[in-house]
Amino acid sequence: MLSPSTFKKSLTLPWWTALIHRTPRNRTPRDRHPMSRSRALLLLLFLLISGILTPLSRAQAIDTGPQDINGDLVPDLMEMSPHYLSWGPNTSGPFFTGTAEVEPVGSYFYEPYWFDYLQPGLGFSSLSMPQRLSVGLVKNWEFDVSVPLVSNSGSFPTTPAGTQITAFGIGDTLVWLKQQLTNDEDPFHFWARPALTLEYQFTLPTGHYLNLNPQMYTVDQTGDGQFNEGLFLIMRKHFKPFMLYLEIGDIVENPTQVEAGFTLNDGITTTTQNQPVVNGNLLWFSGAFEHVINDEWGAGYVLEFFGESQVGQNLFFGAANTPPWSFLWVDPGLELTWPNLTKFSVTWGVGMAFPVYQSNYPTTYTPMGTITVYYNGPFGYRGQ
Amino acid sequence: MRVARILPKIPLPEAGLVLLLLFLPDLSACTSLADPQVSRFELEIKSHQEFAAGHLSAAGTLTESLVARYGPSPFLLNQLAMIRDRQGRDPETLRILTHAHRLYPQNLSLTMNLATEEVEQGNPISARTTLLPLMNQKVWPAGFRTLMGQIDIATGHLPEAHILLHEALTRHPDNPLILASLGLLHSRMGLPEEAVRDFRKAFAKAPEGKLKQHLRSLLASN
Repeated sequence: MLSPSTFKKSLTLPWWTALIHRTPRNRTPRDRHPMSRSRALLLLLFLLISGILTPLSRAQAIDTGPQDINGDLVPDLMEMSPHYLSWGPNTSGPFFTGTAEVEPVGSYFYEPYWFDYLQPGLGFSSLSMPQRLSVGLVKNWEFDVSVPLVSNSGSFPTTPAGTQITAFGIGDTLVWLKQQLTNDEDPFHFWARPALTLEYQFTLPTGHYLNLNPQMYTVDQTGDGQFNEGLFLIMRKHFKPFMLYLEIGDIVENPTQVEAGFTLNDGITTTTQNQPVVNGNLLWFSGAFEHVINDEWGAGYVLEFFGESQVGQNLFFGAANTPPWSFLWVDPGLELTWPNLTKFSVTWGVGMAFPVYQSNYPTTYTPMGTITVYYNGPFGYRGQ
Repeated sequence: MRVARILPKIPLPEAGLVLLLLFLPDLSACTSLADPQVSRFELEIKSHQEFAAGHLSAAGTLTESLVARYGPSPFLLNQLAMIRDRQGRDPETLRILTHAHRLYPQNLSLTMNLATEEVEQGNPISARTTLLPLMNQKVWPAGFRTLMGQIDIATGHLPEAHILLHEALTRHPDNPLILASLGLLHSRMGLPEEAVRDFRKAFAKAPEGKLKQHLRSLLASN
C-alpha cells in the first residue's frame, strides 16, 4: 500500500542518534520546537475530514430513485455492474508493499499514514505522517505524490539524560508514476496471470538536513538531502478470498554534500565534519498475504514482510563511502472498509512492524495506521 | 546471522538475478505483455459498454458467448435479460430472469428485476410472491418501495401501497414515477382530485419522453 520508499524517505531516517553528541555543552530545554505532536495530529485530522467530505457530497448527489424510460409506469429493469471482484471492495491492504493495479482514469484517493518508528535502544522515535494523493491519469498510468509530516522525539541516549526534545517538520517528498503492464487474468484462480506494474519513483530532498541545530542533537533532521531515482516491479494476484502482493526494487541514491552532525540513513552513524555522502543502492523487497474475510465490510487481515538493504555500491557513482546496512521486518495488520459506497469508500488499517533481523541498523518497532479515502470514478476502483 | 552479514555485500548483478528469479514464475504466466487487457473481466466490461451504447445485437452476442465460455453469472444473465427486454422479446426476458432467480435466489437485483418483469407482463400476483421474502429484510433494495407499492395497488392491498409509496416519496420527492404511482393509488381509492394533483406534479417533474406522454394522456382522461 505504501509505495516503495515512501517509508524510506518519509521516515526520514537520519535524525536519530547523534551518539557522538552525548555530552553536550549546552543543556537543551524540553520541547524546543513550537509545534508539538498533538498539534501535528490535529492538522492531520483537519486534512482528513476535508478529504472525506468532498467526495462524500459528490457520491450522495447521485441517487434519484427508480426510473421509467418506457413510460409504462413500471420501474425499469436495474442494471448490474460487471463484477471484476464481486467479492471484495477497496481494502486497506499492506503498509509497505504497493498495489499492482493503478487507479482508473477519473478515480483518486487521499491516504494519510501514521508510522511511529520506535527505537528504544537509541531513545528515539519518529512519528512519520505521509500524506499521499493518488490520481488515475490516463489508462494504465497513475500519478502519486507523498509529502510526509514528521514529528521526531529524542531522549537519552540520543539526548543528554533527563532531557527530551521534539521537532516537527516536512520530510523528503516522493513523486512516482505507475505503469500497469498486465491485468489480473482471473481473480478467482491462483495460477492465472497476475497484475504487474512498473513504478518510476523520484525523491525530492524537501526535508531539513542542513544547518542542523547542535542543541537539537540531530532530532531536527527530517530529510536525507538526496535526489533519488527508483525502479520497482510490483505484482498482485487475487485468488478468492486471498491476495498475494510482491514488490522488489532498486533505488539509486545520488551523492550529496552534508555538514557535521548529519545522521546517515543507517540511522546510527553521524558525520563529524562537512563531507560528501555517497550511499550505495537501496535494494527493496516486500510481500504480503491478505485475507478478506468479509466482502461487504472489507474486513480482513494482512501478513507482510518488508526489508531493505544498502548494498555498499552505487550503480552510477561507484563505491559508497557509508557503511552498508540491512533489515527485515514482519508486520501483521487488520483492515476494515467503511463506509463502502459505489462512488466513495474509506478503508481503515492498523498494524505493527516487528524486527526480524538487522545488520548495522537500529532495532525498530513500528505501530502504524492508515486511512484511505477513495473516490471511484466512472471506471471504478483499482483492480476492479 | 550469516544472512545478515552477507546481504549487504550482494553485488548488483546478483541482486538483479534474484529479482528476476523471484518474478519468473509470474512472468511466465503472462501470455502477452503487449495485450494486457484481454481477460474475462475485460470482455464483460466490453459487453457492458456495447449495451450502454445501444449496440444491442453486439452486446447480446458477446454476453451469450461469455455465458457459453465461462458459465452464467448474475451480471451476465441480468444483462442478457435487459438486452432482450430492450429488443422487445418479453417472454425471453422473463425466462432468463426466472432462471437467474432460481440460480441466485439471494441476489436482490435479480429478484427485483424478475418482479418488475412479472408486473410488466401483467402478472402482479406472481410478482408479489417473488418480492414477499424481501419484506422481512432489515434493509430493502433501491426501488423496492415503489415496485411493491405498485404491486399492492394492482393486487388490491391499498393501505400497504399507501404506506410504501409515501415512504418512497419521502426519499425521492421529485421522482415522477413515484408521483405517478401515487396518482394511480389515489385514483383507485376514489380520490380523483388528489390523483390529478399527483399526475400534474409528476408531469412537471418528468423529462421529455414516453413517461411524459403517458402522464399527458392520464391527465386528459382525468
